[in-house]
Amino acid sequence: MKSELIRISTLCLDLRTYNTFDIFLKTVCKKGYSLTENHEEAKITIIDFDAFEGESKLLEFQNKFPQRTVIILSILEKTYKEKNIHFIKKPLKHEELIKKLHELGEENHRESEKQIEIEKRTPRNTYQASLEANQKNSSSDRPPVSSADLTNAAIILEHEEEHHFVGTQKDIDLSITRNLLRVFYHPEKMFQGAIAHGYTLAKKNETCVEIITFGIGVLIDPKNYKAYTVVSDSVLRPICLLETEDKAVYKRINSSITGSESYTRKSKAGAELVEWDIDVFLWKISLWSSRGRIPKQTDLKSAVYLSHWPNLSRWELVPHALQISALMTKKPIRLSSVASQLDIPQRYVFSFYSACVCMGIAGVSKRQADNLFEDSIGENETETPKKQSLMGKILKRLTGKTIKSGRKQA
Amino acid sequence: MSDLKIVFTGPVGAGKTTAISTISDEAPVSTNESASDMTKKRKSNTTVAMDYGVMKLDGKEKIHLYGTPGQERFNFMWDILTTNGLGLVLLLDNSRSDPVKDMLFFINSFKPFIEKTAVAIGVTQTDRSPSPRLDVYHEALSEAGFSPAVFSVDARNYRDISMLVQSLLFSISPDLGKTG
Repeated sequence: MKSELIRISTLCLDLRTYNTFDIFLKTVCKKGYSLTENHEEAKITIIDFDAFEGESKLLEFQNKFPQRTVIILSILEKTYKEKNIHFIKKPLKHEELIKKLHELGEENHRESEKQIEIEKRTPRNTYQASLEANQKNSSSDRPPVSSADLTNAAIILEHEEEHHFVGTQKDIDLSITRNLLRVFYHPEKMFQGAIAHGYTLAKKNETCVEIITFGIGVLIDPKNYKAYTVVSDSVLRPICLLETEDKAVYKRINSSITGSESYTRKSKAGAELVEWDIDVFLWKISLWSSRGRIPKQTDLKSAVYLSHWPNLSRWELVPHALQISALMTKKPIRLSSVASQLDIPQRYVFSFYSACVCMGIAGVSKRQADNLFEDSIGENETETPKKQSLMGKILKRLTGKTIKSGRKQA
Repeated sequence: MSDLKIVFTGPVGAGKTTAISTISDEAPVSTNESASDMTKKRKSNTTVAMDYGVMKLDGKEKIHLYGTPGQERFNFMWDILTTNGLGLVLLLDNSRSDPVKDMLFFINSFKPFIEKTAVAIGVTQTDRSPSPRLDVYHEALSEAGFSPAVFSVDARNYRDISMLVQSLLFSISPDLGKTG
């Protein structure tokens, strides 16, 4: 195993226990681990479940860091289905703790290597693989596909990437008020909110705008519908999850983006500006920010509308986005009904809706009539079983998989 | 055996022939001829009768893929082609002088068929000609009382055309899959 220092954060530990852990990790664990007060940089988090509000703090933490490896310490025996949740019974035996930390350390090392492998893969490679699969089913005399087609192709989320966009949150009972805390997020306090606001300013003033937030500069050119930044996806993604009370800085660039400070500074440093279509950029960062949640203040009892379909052939494709779009454009509907009618996890619907809100194509319906009737697909809208079966076969032929796969349990 | 079909339509050079060949299981039959008059300015060969392709399904069933001729003087064939049609795929070329006008022309021409079934719209050439943006198409569609899927597509790209046809199917039946 590579001797990489593993950072550990703690929750609900009193100062004395914290200091004890600090000494323990530095001495007994031979400097392989260190405590940090910053949850963002930690790989493992240890929580004293028996402390005051231990349970609610854990829930809150899991909501913010659903993928984090957590070690729960408690007097009472507990079992968790989630692979990233581990339990050690108190009173703590140091051999047991060392064993657990070593196991998790190795796991973390394997995950890091896997992540590096994933990041090495370019969109071209991903698409190329699917293209090769498609070509097996196609006639040999098709026109060749150019490299431009490869970069234009919609990005189907791979299983391991999926949680970055839709999170891992399980379905919750939305009638229970305390559950709602887990599905809301505050886009206006996040990177997403700053960029969306900057884009609005740029469009309104018909000028390029440079946005500086979370220490990152993003240039928006509204005339050409472009966004520019030097920051890579792997840096942007975690930043999209952070909240801040600090205000973003918006600078008006009078000529073109080449006149901006960021551009000049980065050019001097030899860094390359990455050009994005503004819609693709906004859609992606809103998915990273939402991760299966919806903007705070969304009234879950009200129907929501989708004014038109997103350009799903060019934007990141949330699982079941086609079905969700089709259902939501038919008529305003409650988000919970979308998930139940399509029999899909709520997090897919929430992510999709949040991204559509960011793009300005979805929102809560203001019309009272939309909330008067139960959300259902009327009988006259349902096709005959024969036609339905045939359409299912066409879907299977197009996607190469049975249409029931990936539902609910996905 | 199913006689259902999906109809591909759109102006000259929008990519109907290519789209059908992209998803067809058999080499498509195309009745192309050297183009004359205005058509020649956009495309040296054009479809004067129709394109035909087929997708083979489980249980020896088939879905037929028909492409309408792009030239308006062959409009009389459109009614015949849409009989037993499952839905319409409309392809538009973003580099034409007024693609939104093209869209409204086809939407109005096929209106009775679309109202009974559904339509999905693919806009080609958006990489070379980014304007108009898709928002402009949506605005025009909304005014006309429609809200179909509108995607940027490359007719040569299997995934793009597949997604377009999938959106057509889900537009007809969003909960497709529950009975599958």
